[in-house]
Order: sequence, then structure tokens, then C-alpha cells
Amino acid sequence: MQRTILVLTLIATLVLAACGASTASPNSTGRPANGSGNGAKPKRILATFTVIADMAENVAGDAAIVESITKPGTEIHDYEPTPSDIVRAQQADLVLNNGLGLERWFEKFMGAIKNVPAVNISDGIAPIAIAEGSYRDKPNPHAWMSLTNAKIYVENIRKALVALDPANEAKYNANATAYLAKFQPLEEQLRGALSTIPAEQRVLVTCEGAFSYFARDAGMRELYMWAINADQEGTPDQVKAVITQVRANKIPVLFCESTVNAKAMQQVAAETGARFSGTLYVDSLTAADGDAPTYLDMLKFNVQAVANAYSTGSKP
Amino acid sequence: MNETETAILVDRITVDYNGVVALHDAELRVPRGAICALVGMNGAGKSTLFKAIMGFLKPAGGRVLIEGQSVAQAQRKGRLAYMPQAEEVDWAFPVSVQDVVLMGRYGFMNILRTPRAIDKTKVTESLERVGMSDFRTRQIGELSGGQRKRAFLARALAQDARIMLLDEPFTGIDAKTEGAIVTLLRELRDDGYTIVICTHDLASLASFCDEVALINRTVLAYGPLETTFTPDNIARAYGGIFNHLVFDAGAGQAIPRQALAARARGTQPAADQLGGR
Amino acid sequence: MLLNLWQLLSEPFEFAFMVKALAVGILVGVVCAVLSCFITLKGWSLMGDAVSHAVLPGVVLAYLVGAPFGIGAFTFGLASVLLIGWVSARTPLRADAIIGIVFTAFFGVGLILVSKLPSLGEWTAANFGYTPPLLDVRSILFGNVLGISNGDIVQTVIAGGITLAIILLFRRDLLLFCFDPNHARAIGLNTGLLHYTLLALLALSTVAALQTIGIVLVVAMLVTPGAIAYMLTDRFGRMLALAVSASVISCIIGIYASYYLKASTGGCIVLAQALLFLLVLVVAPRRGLIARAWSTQRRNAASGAGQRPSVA
Repeated sequence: MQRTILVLTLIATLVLAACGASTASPNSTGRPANGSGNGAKPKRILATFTVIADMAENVAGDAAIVESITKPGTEIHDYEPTPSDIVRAQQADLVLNNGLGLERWFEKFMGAIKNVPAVNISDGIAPIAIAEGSYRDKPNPHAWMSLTNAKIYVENIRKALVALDPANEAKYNANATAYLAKFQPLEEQLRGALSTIPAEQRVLVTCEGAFSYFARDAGMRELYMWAINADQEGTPDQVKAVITQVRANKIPVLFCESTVNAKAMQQVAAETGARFSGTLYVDSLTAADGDAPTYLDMLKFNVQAVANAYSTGSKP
Repeated sequence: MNETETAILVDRITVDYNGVVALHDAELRVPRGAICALVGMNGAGKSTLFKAIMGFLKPAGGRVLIEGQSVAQAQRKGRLAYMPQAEEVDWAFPVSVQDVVLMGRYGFMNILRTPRAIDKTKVTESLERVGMSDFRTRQIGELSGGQRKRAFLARALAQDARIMLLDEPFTGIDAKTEGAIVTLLRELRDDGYTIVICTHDLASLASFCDEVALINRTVLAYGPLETTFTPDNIARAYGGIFNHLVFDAGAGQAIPRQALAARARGTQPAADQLGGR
Repeated sequence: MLLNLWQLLSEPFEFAFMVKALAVGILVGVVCAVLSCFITLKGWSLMGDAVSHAVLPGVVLAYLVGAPFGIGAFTFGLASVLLIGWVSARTPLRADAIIGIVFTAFFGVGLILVSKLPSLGEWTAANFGYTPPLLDVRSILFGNVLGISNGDIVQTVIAGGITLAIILLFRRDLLLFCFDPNHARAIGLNTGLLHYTLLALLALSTVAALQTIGIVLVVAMLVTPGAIAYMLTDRFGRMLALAVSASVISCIIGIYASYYLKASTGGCIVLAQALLFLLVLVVAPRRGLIARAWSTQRRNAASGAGQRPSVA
């Protein structure tokens, strides 16, 4: 009797598993796009993280659905995809990633997906090399922090969407143009805000070396504890190096990103007397009611935060 | 026998471990001022009874009374002293002989166990009584088998407990130490101590035990040695497998039943009855 | 040359964060070393491992609600030992199996909570208006002695201080409990209370050591110092002193090593302890390998003398 039950259970399990595998029913929770004039289902775009998801949303408009694999606040370099992430990617029509080695998990992730195109949207930018650490000389992946590069990102997204969904080409082109139109005035605004910082204090101190492109555009030097979120984070020598530099250059303000632990930087603040001025955003946006709900808001917030921190001044 | 003269009363206890009944309806009465031996095969419930008397396990049914009180009360008053089997002690433990003997006094000391003068005196006296004064600072692993027993005996003495339970006190020791311990036990008994020993050594117990209890899943028989330590009872305790021989685990040989019975009666066995000694 | 050496020794401590790390490291080392003497004698190394891992869900939950991590850790550490006790009393399974099941289950729950942190954070924000700060899981698992905030230090000192106080005050009863729990019961001591006190101390020491060395490696601090001391002495008082010394030395060496080798501090401390144990294993006066080989040789030589030489 017991054996019969065991055998029946095994068979039932196998049958259920087979059913589940073959009929992966698509979840139709996405709201249908209003603008799909020809009645076809809107394309689903999946982006690896919130920053580029936001960019893609601006280009897609209401013609396609865009989602981010990771939630706001998630660490992006070593994220571990869940089974539901894989399912979502399989059901998507296009996957967008940053490339440049940002998402170290991406290749393996896409290896599990069949017949879904992936587009590397940083193609064509001029990378800054990582200066030190185990990833020395590789390109710094945080290229979106420069509006110049972001224009290339947007263009790559537009091209990918048009190739995927030619029916909506006109919409995508119009959206992209409108989005890019916001970049120029923002660029000037940002440069203006940071120009007030005196020359000798133009150093941006952060935890990860993620602000290379941002600093270059802002005409600031960079100082960071670890070059990339793969190296050891917060070892004694890193902390010591930053403390020494901060003291030597009398740097008044320190920052840390939203996706890493700020304790090491707070130690630096405690020891040097510099002010820990809070969080900057780079690897992730925030929720809708947070400081940086969109890519452009994020840049604006970062610049504002840096400018304010310097202008309120602190003991050197 | 009235209540005040009964040191230990085991009133029809039943003990089970996870559904297996180790002891059922066990009954035993040990009078004050006597040496009582618990005998039986391994696994037959001897140590279970021992543990029930010490309060190391709670019987599922029945009760144990020590001098008319519950075991828990007796423990709190320090009326029960216990000497463990050699196998159960961690001889590599970093304690010295006097550390161990002092442990007998913990029940009298304050919560931080700071030894007072009386405690130190008791420790010294107990060590002297068992002849271990010279070894008081030795770590217990450095002692011989007989010395180890004596150290733990000293602990029991230091506790000033009038009821002592000794688990296999004669295994693994030399004859001289055995003699010394037996002498000490007799002295204590004469002083009014009640001593219960758990033992395999059937041959020698006749020489100093007053009472015996034979155990095989229950107490088959208990009482004074002469009436209880009979070949029939022994056979029932040991399963009746060896009808004419009883294995003497301590001496590692078999003794003909007749010889044992003769001893029990207090008469010396004839030399030729002993067989291959 | 000497000046160089002095420079090497003193340089790390020009920085306040290194001084803090060393002070906390030494405190944790002392507390764990004292407890480790009891743990190794009682044979509770696996239990130490279990309690230290079982605190993970407690730490995560504490972060989510904004409570001090020590409270979450202690609660779950204690809950795990109570559960182990409950299951042990009701099954014939061996203790090590039950311990293994319970602590891994707790740890698993912790990992699940960690993976759902973003959603959980959103949930608490929506329902309680409290957004938890970023939780650095790596520091919980592996320690981050450089990133200790002052609030963390307070928790470490309190947990460590209570542990040390209880152990030292009740060391005789605890030692008796480790040595002969039957006798303890026989003289009327509450062995159940002693049992759970020791387990609670394990949980507390995990709270203290969490920041320095992380929960994965706490067990090393709770086992190795006691083992080192045990190899060197058979007196408990000396064992305590030796364990504390070994632990403090390893912490100091480990922190220096992590500074100059730019390596994980927790890893360096644990490796220093292991190397110290290896050293002691070889050279300990009576129990060490060399001593035993030598005494075996002497025994053989002594028994061999005066015998006929064997036919080759």
C-alpha cells in the first residue's frame, strides 16, 4: 500500500512538472498600451536596473512597457537573479543592459534565456579606465553619469526599439528627440551650479569610484575608497588612504552612494573632521517619492547635493 | 519497618524512555544504616533504578521517597551523595582532587560559591579519611584507578550526606584499594550512613553488604542478603541462562551456583567446588 | 632598523578607526575566550556554531523595524536553543542532528529575509512610515570591525560585559555543570537553569562578536582559544588565562595583518588563532606532538633495554 502511494506521488509530481514547463503562461498584468493603434500587443522591455529603465521609458513612451529587473536600492554589480527574474526575461521582447562590466551576472543570466534579444546600450561611448584595484584598466561602467554619454545611451535605446517594433518608429523617434531636448539646458544648469566651488576644493569624495564620468564633466577630481564594488570594501588601507588625502587637501565634505554601506566613510568623517554630507545616487534611482525618481532628477539631485555641501562650507 | 527507619523507599515506579519501558512496578525499601547492593545484568534496569533514586530521571508512575521526603527536597537539603562510574567521568577535565572534593560543598556555599573555613576544613578531613591528602593538588587524570574512586568518595563524604549511592565502585581497582573502600563503607554504615551500591561483583558483595536487590526490568526481590541472595533469585535476575554457573563480572570468571549459595549462607565453599580459580 | 619596527607597529594606530577596531577586537577576544573554555570542555562547539548562525533572521528583522541589532540577534539565538531543547526532549534523534536542522533552518529564513529586503523595506515604509537603512549583509556574515559605529560599540560592550560578568561570577557552578551535571543535580542545583544560562551566554557573545568577526566565524572565537589553552595546561585557572592571552594575541596579530596585507580582518584574526593552535599542537609541553613522540621514544628505549637483540 505504501509503495503504491509512493509511486503514484512520483508520477503525479512528474506530470505536474512537465505541464508546468511546457505551458509557461504569460502573466498579463501589464496594462495594455493605449497608443498601439494597430491592436498588436505592446512590446515588453526589461532593463537591468532602474536608471536605464527610466531612460528607456522616456523613449518608449506609451508604445511599449518597460520594467527594471532590480528594485530601487539594489546593489547592481553582484545582484543574484531570482527564478521570477528569469521568467520575466523569457517573456520579454527585449532586454537592455548597461554593459561595460557593470552587471557581472548578466552573461550567465542571459544564458538561461532563449530567443530574447539583449542590447548593450553603452555601445559607442568613450570609456574612462579604472585606475586601480583588481579591475584596473578595465572601463569604468558608470558611463551614464555623464550627459554626453547619456545621449549615446538614448540613441542606442531608440535604435533598439525601432528595430524591435518598426510599427511605432515615429513615436520612438519623437520621444527620443523630446527627451534629448531636456539634456542641453540641464547640462548648462549643472555646470553652472558646480562652478562656484573654489578650485582647490574641487574634489568629490565617495565610497565607490563610480563618479569618474560625473567628476570629469563637473571639472572635479575624484577620491574614492574602492575603485569598484567588487574589490574589498572598507579595508584598513583604503580608509587610511582616504583619511590621509582628505587631511592633506583639507577636503570639507564626504559622500557615499545609496547602494553601499556608509559606515567606513563615516569613520573617515569622524577622524578628519570633514562633514559626511549624505547620499549620492549612481547605481540606482529611488522610489517615486524619493530624492531621485528619474535619471534626470538623479543628476540634478547629485549636483545640488554637492553644490550645497560645499557652499554651506565646513572646517577644512 | 517504620518510616523513620527507611532511608529509601521506591514505591512501584515505572520508567520509560521514549516508549520503551525500562523498569516497571519497581519496589524497594532500604533501611537506614545499611549497605544495599543493586545487582542485575547490564541493560536490565539497574542503572535506571539508580538514576530514579538519585532523581536524575522522573518515573512515569509511582514515587521515590528519601527519608520520607521527595527526591527534590532531599537534593535541596543535600541528603544524597553520588559517586559516578569511572567511564562517566571526564578524567582529562582540568580540575584537581581538591577542586572535586570542594564540589561536594557547593550546596552549602553562597551563590558565588566562595569557600568558607568550614568548607575547607571538611575538604581536608574528607581527603584524610580516604587517604588522599597527599594528592589533593593533582589533576584527576593523574590518579590511579583506586585513587580516582577515593577522590570521588571524598567528595561524597565532604557533602555530609547520610545517603550515598555509588555506581560500580569496585570496577577497575586493585584489591588493596577495594579492601580500603570496603572498610570505609563499613565504618560509615556503622555510623548510620545508608549506602547503595550498583555492582557486578557478585562474589565479593556477600562479604560486606547487608541488603541486596535483584533487578531485571523490575525489582525481582529485595531484602537482607541471607534471604534474598539465593540461587533462584540470581538465576531470575540473570535470565536463568546459566543455571549452574553465575558469572562473576568483577573477577572475570564463573562460580558454581553451589559455591555462591554457600557464601550466601555464610559458609565457606569447599575448595574443589570453586572450579578453576 | 628598530625605528622601522616601531614605525611598523605604531603606524596603524595613528588612525582612530584602527584604535577603535583594536579595542573592540580585544574586548570581543577576551569575552569569547573565557566562554570558550567552558564551551570546549562541555563539548558544545557545534552548539556555538549553531547559535551564531541562528541569529541572522533576528538581525535582519531588527534592522527592518529599527531596533538595535543586538536585541534581534539575542532573541533569535535564544529561540533557536529553546527549539533545539524542545525537539530533543521529544525525539530519540541525536543532539547533533537536531542542532544541525534547527540552526540551518534559522539561517535559511535569514537568507530569505535578506533576499526580500527591498520589498520588505517598502512594506515597512508603506505601513509604518519607517524606511530601514541599507543593510550590509556582508558585514553581518563576515564582520566589519572598521565600520563599527558608536551605537554598535555600545551594544558590543553591554553584551560582552554582561557575558563576562555572569561567567566570572558563576564560574564554579558553570564548571561543575560542565564536569558533572549529575552531581550538580544531586546537590540541588538547578541544572536546567545552568544549561540555559550557558546557552544564553552563547547568544550574547555572538551579539558582541558579530560586528568584529561576523556570524560565520564567531564559532572560531568560541572554540580555538579554549582548545589552545587545553593543550597547555590541566588547571582551569591557567586555562582561562591562557585562552584570554591566545585570543588577545590573535586579535592583535590579525588586525595588524589585515592592515598591512590589505585583507579581511575577520579572516586574519581567525587564521592567526588557527596558526597559534597549530604551533601549540606541535610544541605543547606534555600534550604536543613533539612531546608525545619524545616520550614514546623514551618508553620504547626503556622497555627495549635489557632484552636480547632480535634476530635480524
